[in-house]
Amino acid sequence: MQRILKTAAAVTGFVVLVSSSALAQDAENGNQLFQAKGCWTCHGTMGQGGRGPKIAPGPLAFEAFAAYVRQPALEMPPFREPILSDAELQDIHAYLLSIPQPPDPADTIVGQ
Amino acid sequence: MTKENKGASVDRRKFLAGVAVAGAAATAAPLKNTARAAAPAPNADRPVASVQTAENGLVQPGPYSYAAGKPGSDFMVDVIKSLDIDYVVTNPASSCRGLHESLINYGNNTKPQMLTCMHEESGAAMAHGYYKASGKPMMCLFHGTVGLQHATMALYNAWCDRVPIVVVVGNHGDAASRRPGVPTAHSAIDPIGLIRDFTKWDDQPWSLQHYAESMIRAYKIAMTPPMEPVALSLDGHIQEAPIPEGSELFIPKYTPTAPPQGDTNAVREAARLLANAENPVIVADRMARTPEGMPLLIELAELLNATVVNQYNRMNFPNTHYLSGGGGAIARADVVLGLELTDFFGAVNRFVDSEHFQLSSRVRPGTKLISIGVGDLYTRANYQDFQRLQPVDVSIGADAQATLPALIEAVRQEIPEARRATIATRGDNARRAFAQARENALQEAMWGWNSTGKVSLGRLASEIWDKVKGENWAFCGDSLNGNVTRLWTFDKAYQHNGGSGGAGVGYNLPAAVGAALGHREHGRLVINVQNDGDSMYAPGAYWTSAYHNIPMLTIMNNNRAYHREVMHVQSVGNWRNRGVENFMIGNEITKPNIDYATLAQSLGVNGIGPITDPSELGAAITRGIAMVKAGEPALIDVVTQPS
Repeated sequence: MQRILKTAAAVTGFVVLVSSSALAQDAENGNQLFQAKGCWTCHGTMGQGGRGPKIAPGPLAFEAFAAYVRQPALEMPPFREPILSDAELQDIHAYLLSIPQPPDPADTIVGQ
Repeated sequence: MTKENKGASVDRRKFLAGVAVAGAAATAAPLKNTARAAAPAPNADRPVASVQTAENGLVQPGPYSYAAGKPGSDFMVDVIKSLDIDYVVTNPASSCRGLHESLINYGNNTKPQMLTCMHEESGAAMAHGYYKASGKPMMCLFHGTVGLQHATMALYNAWCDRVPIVVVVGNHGDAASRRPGVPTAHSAIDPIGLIRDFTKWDDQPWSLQHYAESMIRAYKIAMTPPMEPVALSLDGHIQEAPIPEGSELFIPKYTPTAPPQGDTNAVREAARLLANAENPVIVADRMARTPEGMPLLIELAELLNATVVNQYNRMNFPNTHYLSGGGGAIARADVVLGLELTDFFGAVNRFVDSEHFQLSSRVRPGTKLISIGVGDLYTRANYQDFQRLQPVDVSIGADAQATLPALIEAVRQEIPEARRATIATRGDNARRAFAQARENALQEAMWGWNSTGKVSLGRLASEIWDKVKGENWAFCGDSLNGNVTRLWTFDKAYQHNGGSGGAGVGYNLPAAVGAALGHREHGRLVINVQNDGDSMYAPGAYWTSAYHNIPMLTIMNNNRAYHREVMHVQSVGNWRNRGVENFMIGNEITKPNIDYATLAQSLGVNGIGPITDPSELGAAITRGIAMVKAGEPALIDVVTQPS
């Protein structure tokens, strides 16, 4: 039983490792795409918002995110396939997912 | 100088006749030279005109002497002093030299004091910012033609923002008596024509008495709502020549015109709609002309428990009040009261700048719209600052602030007893919504908090506020995507100087210098959040702040691009499926990055930065404030996220 648990733990750990590794790689590329494709000019380099709304941390689920990017409802210009591939879009989403939560206002000058 | 020179007895007709005779003599002189030139060719190069004149004794006496008698421009100074104008901003110009000399030597450079600017656009923007901080108009003394050409954009901003400025330009109308060469090239038949589309009144007086009347009239018109820039063209000869003997000059009395108040019946109808509304919303733009405007609006809002949307071109309403709300409130309204809205259409409609032209109403069908403002009383045709026509249900052409007391009283009388509970409930709901919005604002300020390389705007606004909140402060400039107006507490009439009016870039830096001058006598700490691109149109304004000891802390919002234009180009590129990779071409301000701290230092302003690590902001702001409190202007360059 112990062997089974160890094996299961090893497998799980391997899966987590592979997932986080893939995520990290995608997120890094996504960060570069986020800058190169100009997403940051409206949403800020960390997705915090600016002229456009905040999109990270806690972005929309990928399907909703992708649907909006392809066919936005408001002022955001559409990023269609000829200028942004599905793979690139996934990497950008991975980058947004990787952005950590900000500090609590109470822990900063804002809350003082 | 009222009724001066009574002893002089030269008849004006005789004086003018004398001028005509002497003028004819003067014009004959060149003919002699022409005849001389027709003689056999000399055996040496012909001397230049000045040498030739000196050698041959050909100096022709003019019809008058600029050295004799009391100069006309001294009387002009007396008129200016009668209006209690504190400052005259100038970029020195030969066409104004007579008045310039009188201001400093006859007028002792006090009330008005001359301010030196390095570009007429900066001078007009200084006057604009100064008025909004002090409530007093500044006079601009500019060169005609090329000087006024420089000033035009800033005057258009003032026009759009309904700010009174008295513009005086020098001009030489008489071709026979003006200096040839550049002064002639800089003369015009109608120099003010250049700005007539965005000035309320202008004149070109042809005598000193005409000038006195026109100056008083100009001031009076500028100060009557809708307040706007006015302009006079002052003939160089009238400035420089002595006051004609026998002149019985006098200065007309200035009596301010009471601003127009709304028609009683129309005010009653507006009150009836507001008092019976389920969800009234007040939108205020250029309402608070004076500090008395804010308490009046608070009184009206509390009477109705109506949400107030402050568009911030004037400090209409405190953002600490529970009825202070965002533009989203308009969508829930059944009655909207617009106070001095220059764009009522924009307030109740939504345009989405996308590849498909999207225009929709923000308000529900059947929403009643009430407009009170002076925009209907004075409009020009050419420039389209009057915006789209918005049909309304009650339109009151009157000054909103002057009308508020009557409207408050009418609303008080019109509120049905049965509606008081509903109004009270609205207040409870508004308090809850206000508290939630405040909490949200604090949370939103955290997003991107630790961004390095480019400091987040929420972080920047928070760091400045942390150092400023205990001071007697006033704010000018960019609100950092609304972070300043969300995170700071604006509850005093002087604390927010509003925008440019016409969105002409290059306004903010000189306008902030003008505002800081207005705040100086009150000892207020002036914070100017300055966009980088705007500052580079005329950075000479830094020098003006140093030269005239105008303390102000400028925080450079340095995003190293014309970022709004970046977004426009990105949009078009994407609409056309061409992508955005080239979006910085024509828009970036990099390679090299501008070192704003060093630039400021070279112009006499303390410079700190550039700062890219937000953890360094607090100490830098503390240093900057200490410099400003010591009476010196200072600048902190902060590399920021785009706005």
